[in-house]
Amino acid sequence: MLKFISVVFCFIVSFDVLADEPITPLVPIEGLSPDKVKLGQQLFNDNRLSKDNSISCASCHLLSKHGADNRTRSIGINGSQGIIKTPTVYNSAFNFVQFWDGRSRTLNQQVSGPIHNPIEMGSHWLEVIDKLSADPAVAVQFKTLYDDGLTAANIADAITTFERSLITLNSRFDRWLEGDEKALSANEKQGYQLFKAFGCISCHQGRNVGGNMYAYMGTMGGYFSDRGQPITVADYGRFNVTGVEDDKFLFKVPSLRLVALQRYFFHDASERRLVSAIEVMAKYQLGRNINEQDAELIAAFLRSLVGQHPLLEPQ
Amino acid sequence: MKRKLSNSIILQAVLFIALIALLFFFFKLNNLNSAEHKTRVEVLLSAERIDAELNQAGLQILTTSMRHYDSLSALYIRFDRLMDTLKAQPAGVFSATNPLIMDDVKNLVIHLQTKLELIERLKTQSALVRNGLLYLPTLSDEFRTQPSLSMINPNVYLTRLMAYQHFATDSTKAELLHEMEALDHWVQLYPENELVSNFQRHLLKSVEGLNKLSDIKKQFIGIPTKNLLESLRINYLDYHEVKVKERQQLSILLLMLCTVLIAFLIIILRRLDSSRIVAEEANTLLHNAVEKLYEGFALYSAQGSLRFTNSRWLALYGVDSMADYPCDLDELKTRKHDFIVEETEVEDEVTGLPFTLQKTKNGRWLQARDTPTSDGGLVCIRVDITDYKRAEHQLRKLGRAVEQSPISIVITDVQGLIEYVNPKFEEVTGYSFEDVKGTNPNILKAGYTSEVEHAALWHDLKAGNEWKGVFANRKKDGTEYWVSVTVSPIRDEAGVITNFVAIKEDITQQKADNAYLEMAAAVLDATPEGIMTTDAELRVTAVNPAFTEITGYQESDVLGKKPSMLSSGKHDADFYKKMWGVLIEKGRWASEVWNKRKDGSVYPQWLSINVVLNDKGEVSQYVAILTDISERKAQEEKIHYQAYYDGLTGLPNRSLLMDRVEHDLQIAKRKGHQSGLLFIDLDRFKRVNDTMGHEVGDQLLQEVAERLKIIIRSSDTISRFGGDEFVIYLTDISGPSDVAHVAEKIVDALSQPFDLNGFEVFTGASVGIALAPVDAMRPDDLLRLADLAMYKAKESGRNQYHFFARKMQDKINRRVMLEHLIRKGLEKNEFEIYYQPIVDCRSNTLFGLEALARWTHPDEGMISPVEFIPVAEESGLIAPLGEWVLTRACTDLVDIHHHCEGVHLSVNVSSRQYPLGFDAECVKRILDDTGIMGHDLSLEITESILLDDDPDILSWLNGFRALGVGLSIDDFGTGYSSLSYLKRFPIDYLKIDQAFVASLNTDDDSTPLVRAIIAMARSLNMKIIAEGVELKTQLDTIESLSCHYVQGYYFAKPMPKDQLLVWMADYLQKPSD
Repeated sequence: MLKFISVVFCFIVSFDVLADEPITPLVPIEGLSPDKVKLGQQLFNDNRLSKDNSISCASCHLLSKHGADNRTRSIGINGSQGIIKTPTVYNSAFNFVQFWDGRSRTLNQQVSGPIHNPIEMGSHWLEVIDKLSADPAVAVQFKTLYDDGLTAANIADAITTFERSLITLNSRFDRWLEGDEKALSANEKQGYQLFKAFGCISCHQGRNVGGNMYAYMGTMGGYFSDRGQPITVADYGRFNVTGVEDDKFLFKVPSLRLVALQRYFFHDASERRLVSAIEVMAKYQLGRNINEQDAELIAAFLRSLVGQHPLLEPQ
Repeated sequence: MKRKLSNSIILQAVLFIALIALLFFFFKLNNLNSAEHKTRVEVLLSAERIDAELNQAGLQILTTSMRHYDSLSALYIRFDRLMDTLKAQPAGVFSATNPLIMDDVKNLVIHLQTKLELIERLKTQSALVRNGLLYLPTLSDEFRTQPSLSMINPNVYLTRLMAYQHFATDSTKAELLHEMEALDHWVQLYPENELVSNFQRHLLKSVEGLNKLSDIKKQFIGIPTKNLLESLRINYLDYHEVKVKERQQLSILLLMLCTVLIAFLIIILRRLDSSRIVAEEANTLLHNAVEKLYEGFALYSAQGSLRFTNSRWLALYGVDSMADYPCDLDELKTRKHDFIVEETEVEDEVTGLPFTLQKTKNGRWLQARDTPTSDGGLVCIRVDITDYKRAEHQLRKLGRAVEQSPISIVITDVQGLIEYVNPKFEEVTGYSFEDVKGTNPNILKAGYTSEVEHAALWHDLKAGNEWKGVFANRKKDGTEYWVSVTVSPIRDEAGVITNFVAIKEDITQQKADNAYLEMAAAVLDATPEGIMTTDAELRVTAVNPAFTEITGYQESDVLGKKPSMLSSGKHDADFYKKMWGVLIEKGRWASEVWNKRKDGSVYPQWLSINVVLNDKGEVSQYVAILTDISERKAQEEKIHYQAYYDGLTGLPNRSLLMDRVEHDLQIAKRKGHQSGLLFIDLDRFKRVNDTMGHEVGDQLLQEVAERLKIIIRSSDTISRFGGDEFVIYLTDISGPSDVAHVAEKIVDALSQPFDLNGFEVFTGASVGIALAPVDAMRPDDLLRLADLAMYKAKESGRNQYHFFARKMQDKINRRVMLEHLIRKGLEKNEFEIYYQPIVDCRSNTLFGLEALARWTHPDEGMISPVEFIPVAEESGLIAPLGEWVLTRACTDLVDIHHHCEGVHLSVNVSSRQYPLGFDAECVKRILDDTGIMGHDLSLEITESILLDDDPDILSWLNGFRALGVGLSIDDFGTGYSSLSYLKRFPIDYLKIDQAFVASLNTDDDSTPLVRAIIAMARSLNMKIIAEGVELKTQLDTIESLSCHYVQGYYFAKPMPKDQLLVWMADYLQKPSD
């Protein structure tokens, strides 16, 4: 009894401590059916979801890497190229909206997107259901897990359930948040302090260190003009969804949980180095130049955000 | 009546309409669903809550008191859910209310969504402002580090900005803008200074951000969600109140309607009750009146049910209570005979009206009148007329007695004049009543009676006495007849004679009968059939002369004795028992019976016995008629014999044979036994007949019949079928081999010479065999197939037998053909040798080859060794074949050794080769001829050869060992797998049968057995070769059991030498892994 009380007490205390920080630890999503997760994983890797059976979700969302590929633009069916860098699927369950421009409120709505996109999978539900129904093993799995068997909604549900299991837990930063002082080095702690002091935290906060609000790319102006590349449709961001002039260049703030693993940064994949990306962010989002030493410290902090998942290559 | 009817129709219509109204209101009431109301109120509350939370979130964002926005996710999910309930067309859960409410809902949805969008903008904008405000003090600090800029006081701007941030009024804005203009001045003064321009840039951005934030805030505050929710709530509650009122009104309506209906019902019930009382009173009156009637009375309704009846009615029909009497006309119809036994339609003699005369079951006669009533019912009245009928019947009976009397009756008046004659009189005399009415009976006189007698008659009669006598009378047609007459006077109540009655009995027949009896006696004496009569106690009462002639017994010998004295003793008690059974039942019996004559000889007779009954139906006597049939019996037997037996040989002929076969096949169908039919044809009979004459031919047939008789069992049938054909039918055989055995004996017996008139004659026979039920189940078919088989036997060279049986015959024929083909194949060099590699899987090297004989016949194609090896073994052809294989394989090995040195050769040796002279010497010769070393060769034998534990076998095997040749046991484990005898024999290799290998890793895993074999073999210093390895898993298991020599499809199948060399080249090049 005493032990129980002390555990509860510890929890309350630590919760209080955590509540002070604008970033909270990642927690697994409870109550996912293991069978559906398994089926979802199978579908996630199933090439039949694409028109010519050439690619699957996993083709662009490499789970062993950072939940996305290491390309500036992903390759869809028939070698077609995407218009925006693929975001990570890891921890996407915690994003308040899906896609860079937030055009889907939920993961469930998101699934249809790539399947129907002619330059991604280029298929449609009827075709996918036809192909999967022809495979008795798949049909039987659906029959056992869902009352109405193989339907678009159930395919989406299985995939989503799997995606909800893709939470990168136990990062060093989370361990530090939970009271393990030794989990972070002095530099990393300093990096975190800078992250907050510079104001990065204004947008990149919450358990996903981002992913819960919109922000303009280049708030302080000049990003697109300095980039040297012409403006593309994708650059308009949320404007493409709402048509409101104010929404031009407005994007969902991306999660920084696995940013340290990325090879390219930003929606247009315009940056290749993490430190440079931090500098670019400071310049255009905060309107200040930060020195490389500070950028390195922030980068060190960002590396401590990388958690673990069985499918993710250990770092 | 009519008025009443229309009243009731109106009443029914009113009730029906009331019921419909009731249901209508009930369902309408039910439609006002309270669950729906509950949901709507809940949605309203939830909308209010969410709106409040959105407001709170907006406030928190503005005051930057929200550390992170994750907590909004849960709110957003609830928000989405609310939108779903409201947005469904046209107004979500508020659909089907009123336009006012639906408008409110639509507006609410739009404004709530706007609110959410504004919150997002607040988030974006407040982050921007916050960062600006965070950075500006840092920049302002930097001014101090640049003395050249001491003129500029950055704090002024910060202060104005703060003021504007906290109190965003026009005045604070104006002040801020004023200062900003001043800053702009400084910027122009220090165009190169980055700090100043940067400070200005951030300041401008912050102002811009604050402006936007303030705009958004205004918009946010301006969203009228609160008013909308208020309005929606009020509108909805009004709407709900109206609905509730509607519901109350409906309830009241329902209640009223129910009350009216119940009142109606009570009135109707009361009316019904008073009508019932009036009707009951009238009914009772009627009942009492009817009950007092002397006649039976019943009233049926139009539907035919019995409304009421009186007790007289029931008494007339002999029924005790109403319950026993049918309650309606239908039932009465079916049960009519329970009450009425007779019914006739009669017309009343007096009134002329029709009525029905019924005779009841209890013997009463009833006059029945059934009259329909005006409403379709039926009134029935029954009057008892039994007494009248009884008197009438009595009279009719007496009259009928006179009318139908078999005796003539004449009634006269006192003068003797005829008043009445009965029909018998008319019949006898030929006079009709009209003819004789009023005349004197004298007209009948034949004239034989004297006047004296006549006078005496009248004298007696007039004295009042009865007179009896016999007359001869004359009929109308003149014929005379004899009568015995009794005349009696009839007196009236006062004793005065009024009439005379003459009763005349015709006795002419009696006189004729006596004459007939005399004639019958004469016939009895003359008939050739013996006749014997007995009394009921079976004592002989009479016999006729023919009886004496047939039996030898005189009448005096048998009178008073029992007929059993004639019994031959050939029939048992059962026979007589049956005879008596038939006699008693049918009154007569006839059969063939063997009896004994007086001289003791037994003879067949046809005995027919008739029972004679007296008037009472009791047996009065038995009449037996017997005919001697010994002659006829002899005739019949001769005819039967000629019909069923062959005259020459005395054997059953075709008809009898077919009968017996038919009969046997019927039994076989039930019992399931097998039978065989042998069709025998003498091979050289015709020549004997032609050259030596028919007599000798006949003699030969007789001799043949004799020889055949000796061969078969008594239960079998041997028959002469015609000419020189015999058929033997064997029943209940155990199999084809039985028949083959008999057929062999027949062929053998008939190929022996016959001695005919001193000449030695050879005939020989061909036998065809058909089996039932295998070949056929009908006698004709069986015979036809056997005949067919016989012809085949003849074709294949006489003095043979041949089965028709398809499968067996096919197999034998195939075997004979194969033997022939093997012989030819050896000559024509059609055989070849395939080699299957044996691999040492430790080193992945080729250990050896098993030589396997293969045979492709030019016409038959590939013939499997499984088929030709057994034939070769049985025919002895295995000797040349085996030797050829060994020679050829050794020759090939020389060539193979050029490609891969040291490869071992394994050749199969059949145990049949041992008695056929294959030995070490033979092997040595082949080794010498081919130049192969002994240790390069091993011979594969099957374990069965070792089982005899024969010392000769041991030395035979040791002979091979002496040459250095190895020995291996093939197919080890399939026979009597005892390792003990292996010890005594010089065995080098054990080959584990492929059946074991195949069952490795399967359900009936043989792994433990194989492990045991390997362990024991190793202890005996033998090497193990696993055969038939096809799968990797099998190989793994085999290897894990430390068996290293492996042969099977997994590595290679048997192949000709050329292919083998290619395979070897490929295999030997492969690096071992």
